[in-house]
Amino acid sequence: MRGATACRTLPPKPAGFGHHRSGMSPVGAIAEAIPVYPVNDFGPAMKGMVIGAVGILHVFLAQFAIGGGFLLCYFQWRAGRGGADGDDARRFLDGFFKLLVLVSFVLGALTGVAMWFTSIQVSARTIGLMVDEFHWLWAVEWCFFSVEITAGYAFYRWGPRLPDPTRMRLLVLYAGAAWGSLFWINGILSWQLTPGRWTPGALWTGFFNASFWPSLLFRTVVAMALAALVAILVITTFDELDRERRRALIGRAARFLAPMAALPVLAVWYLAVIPADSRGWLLGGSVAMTMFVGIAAGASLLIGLYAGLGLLLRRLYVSGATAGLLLALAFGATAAGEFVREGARKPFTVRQTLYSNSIAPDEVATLRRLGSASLDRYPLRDAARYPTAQLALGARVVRVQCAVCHTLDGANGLVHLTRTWTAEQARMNIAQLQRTKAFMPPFAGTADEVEAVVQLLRWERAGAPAAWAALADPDVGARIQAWLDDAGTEPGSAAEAGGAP
Amino acid sequence: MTPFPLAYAWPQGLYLALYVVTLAAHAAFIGYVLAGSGYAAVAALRGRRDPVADVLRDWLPFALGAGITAGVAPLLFVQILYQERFYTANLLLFHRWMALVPALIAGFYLLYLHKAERVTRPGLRAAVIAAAALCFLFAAWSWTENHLLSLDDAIWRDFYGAGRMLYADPRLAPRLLTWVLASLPILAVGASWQVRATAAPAVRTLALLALIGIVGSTAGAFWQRALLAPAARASLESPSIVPWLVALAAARAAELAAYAQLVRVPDSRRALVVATVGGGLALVAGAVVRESLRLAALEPIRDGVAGAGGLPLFLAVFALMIGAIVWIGALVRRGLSPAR
Repeated sequence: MRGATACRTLPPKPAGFGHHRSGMSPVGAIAEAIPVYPVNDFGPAMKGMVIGAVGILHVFLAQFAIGGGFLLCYFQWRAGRGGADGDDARRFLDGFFKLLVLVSFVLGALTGVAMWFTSIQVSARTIGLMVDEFHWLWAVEWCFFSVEITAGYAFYRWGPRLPDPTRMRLLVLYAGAAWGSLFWINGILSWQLTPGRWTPGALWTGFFNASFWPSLLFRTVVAMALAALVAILVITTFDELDRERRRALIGRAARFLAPMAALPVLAVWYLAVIPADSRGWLLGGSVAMTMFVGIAAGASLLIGLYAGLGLLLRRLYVSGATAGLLLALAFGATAAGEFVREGARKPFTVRQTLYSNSIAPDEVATLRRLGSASLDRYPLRDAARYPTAQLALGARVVRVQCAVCHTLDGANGLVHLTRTWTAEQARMNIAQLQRTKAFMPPFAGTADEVEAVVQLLRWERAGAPAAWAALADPDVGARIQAWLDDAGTEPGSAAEAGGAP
Repeated sequence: MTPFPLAYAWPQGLYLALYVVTLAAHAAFIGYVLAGSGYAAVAALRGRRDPVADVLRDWLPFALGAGITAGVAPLLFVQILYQERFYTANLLLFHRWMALVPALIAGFYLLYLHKAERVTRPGLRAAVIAAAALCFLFAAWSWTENHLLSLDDAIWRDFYGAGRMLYADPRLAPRLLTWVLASLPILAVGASWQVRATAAPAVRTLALLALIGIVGSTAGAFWQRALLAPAARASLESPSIVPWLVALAAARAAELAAYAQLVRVPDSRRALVVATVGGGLALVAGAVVRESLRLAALEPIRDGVAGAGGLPLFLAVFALMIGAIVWIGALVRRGLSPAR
C-alpha cells in the first residue's frame, strides 16, 4: 500500500467545471483547484466583527501573559535580594498576580484555539494556506507554548515551596518560552501583510519579512506595558501593605512601562516598511482606518505620559480606579491596533496571494470567463425568496465575493453603501471595483453577474417585492463587459502605482 | 504486511504518525478530565469524603490546561491531512463549533471554582463540578459529530441548504459511548498513581471503574463496527491496520488482567505498571484503529505542504521541548527534596 493515493469523494462541482482532471482545459483546471466552502450568514454582523472580537481578546490576554513572565522574573530577582523590599516582591509574586498570569495563559490558549476556529469561519482558504506553508513553524510555536505551560504550572503549583534559584529558573523558562511563542507567531502574521519576495516554499524569506522586527519589538513593548498595568492594578488591592510600600511596588512595576518610549519609533519603522497603499489607508486614505490609528496612538500616548511623568518621574501613587482606567485605555489601544493591522492588508488576506474574499489574483481572469457563482456548490438557503433567477444569481455572487466583509443590509451593508448610486453607476462601480475603492479586490465574475448584483441591490432597496422583472439587455451587458475589460484583473494598488488610464 | 503509518508515502506517513501520536497524548489528558469531572461530580453528590475526588479537585485544572495544549498539535495536523473535510464540517456546524470554546472556558473556570476553598456547600460543589463535566461532554459530543459529518460529504449540500444545526447519525451514540467509557481506564491509571501512597483502598474502586470502562468501550467499538459501511469495515482488516488491532486487543487484555489483580490487591505496583503500559499502548493503537476508518478520505498532499520547510527545526525544537519539560520536573523534584 506504499504510496497509496487517496481518492477524493467530495461533492462534484457544478456543470461546466467537471471534476475529472483528464482532458480538462487550463481554465477548468484553475477552477478545479479553487477550494470552495459553505458560506455562513452571521445576520447583521459582518464576519470581521466576529474574528475581531475573538482576536482582540486573544491578543490582549496572550500579550499580558508574555509581559507577565518578564515581570515575574524581575520581581523574583528582587525577592532573591532579600530585605523588606524582597519580602514585598515575594508577596506580590506569590499572590494574585501569579493566578492572573495562569488564567491568562490558559485563556490565551483557549482563545488561540478560538482564533483558529474563527479564522476557518471567516476565510477557510486563508487559514488553510497559512497552515500549508507554515505548519512546521506552528508546530515549533506549539513546542514553545508547551514549555511555557509546563514551567508556568510548575511555578504556580510548587513555587512557594521552592528555593529562589529554582523559582528564578522556572520563571526564566516560562518567560523565554512565552516570548518565543510570540516570536514564531509574529513571523506568520506579519508575513500576511509583507510577504515581500516570498514564493511558496521560501519559508525564511516569508518568515523574516519586512515587518517582522518592528512588529515583534512593538508587541514585546506592548506586552511589558500590559503586564505593568495589570500588576499596578493588583498591587492597589494589597490592603495588608501600607500605602508607602504599595507605592514602592507600583514604582517597581511601572519600570516596565518605560520601554513605551520606543513605541513611536517602532510605529514609524512599521509604517515605513508596509506597502505604500496600506500606509496610505492608515494615514488618511481611509477615514475609519485613520481614526483607529488615532485611537491606538492617542491611548498609548496618554498611558505613556502618565507613566513617564506621573509614575516614573514624580513617583505618584495610583488608586485602583486610575489603574483600571489605564488598563481600559490599554485595551482600547490593543483593540484599535489589531483593527489597523487587520485592515491594512486590504484587499488581501495574504498580500499579492489571496484576496480577502479567498480568490487568488491569478484566478480572477478565469472567473471573469466562468463566473464566480459557478464555483459555488451549495444552495441558497433562502432561494424561495427571490422572484427571478437573476436575483438568485446575484445572491450567490454576493455570497461568494462580498459576504466575507459585507452584509446585505446590516453592518457594512451593501444596500446602504450603494443607496445613492444609479443603476448605471452601480454597474460601472462594481465592474471596476478596484478603481471604485482601491482596497476592494477586482470583481471576479462575468458581466451577467455584475448585472445580477446590481439588480439584487435595487430589489433589496425596493423592499424585496414579490414581483421583479429580470433585466437582460445585451447593450447593458456589453457596457459592463467593456468596464470589466477596461479595469482589468489587477488589484487597485497596481493601478495606483502605475496610474489609472 | 507494512504496518500503519509506514504503508504511506513520505510525507503523508509522517503527518499521519504525528497526528495519531499527538491525538493519543491529547486523549490521555482529556480522558482524565472527562472521567475525572464525572467521578468528582458523583462523589460530591454522595457527600462523602473521597480521596480520589480530593486529588481530582486539585489536579483537574492542570489536566485541562495540559489537554488543551496537547490538543493544539493534532488540530494542526488534521488541517494538513483532511483540510477540506475538516473546514467544511466546521462551517456546516458553525453554531456548535463556535460554542465549543466558550464551553471549554466555562468548564475551566468551573474546575477552579470547584477547587476553591470558599466553595464549601456540598450541593453547590456538586453542581459546579457536574456543570463542568457537562461542558466537557458537550465538547466530546461536538467533536464526534464534527468528525462524522466531515466524512459524510454526500449530505453536505442538503445539510447546508436546510440550515441544519444537528447531524443525527446512528454512529454518533456508539462512538461517543466508546470514547466516554474508554476515558475510565485513563482516569484509573492517572488517579491510581496519585492516591496509591496515601489511600490504597481507593485504587480498588478505580480498578473496578476501569474494568467497566474497558468492557463497555469494547462493546461500544463492536456496536460501531456493526454500523460501518462495508468499505470502512474492510479498512479495519487491511494489512496495515491488523497489527494495530492485535496490539489493541493485547493491550486491553493486559489491562483487564492488571485491573482484576488491582481489585484483589490494590497496592500491587506491578499490576499498576502493567495497566499503565497497557493503557498507553491501547491509546495509541486505538487512535490508529480510529484513524483507519477515514484513511480512504485522506486528501492528497498539497504542493504547499510538500514544499513547506521547517521540519528539521521542528524536530530539534521538539527534542529541546522534551528536554526542557524533563528538566522542569527535575528542578521541582530537587527543589522540593527534604535534603534542601
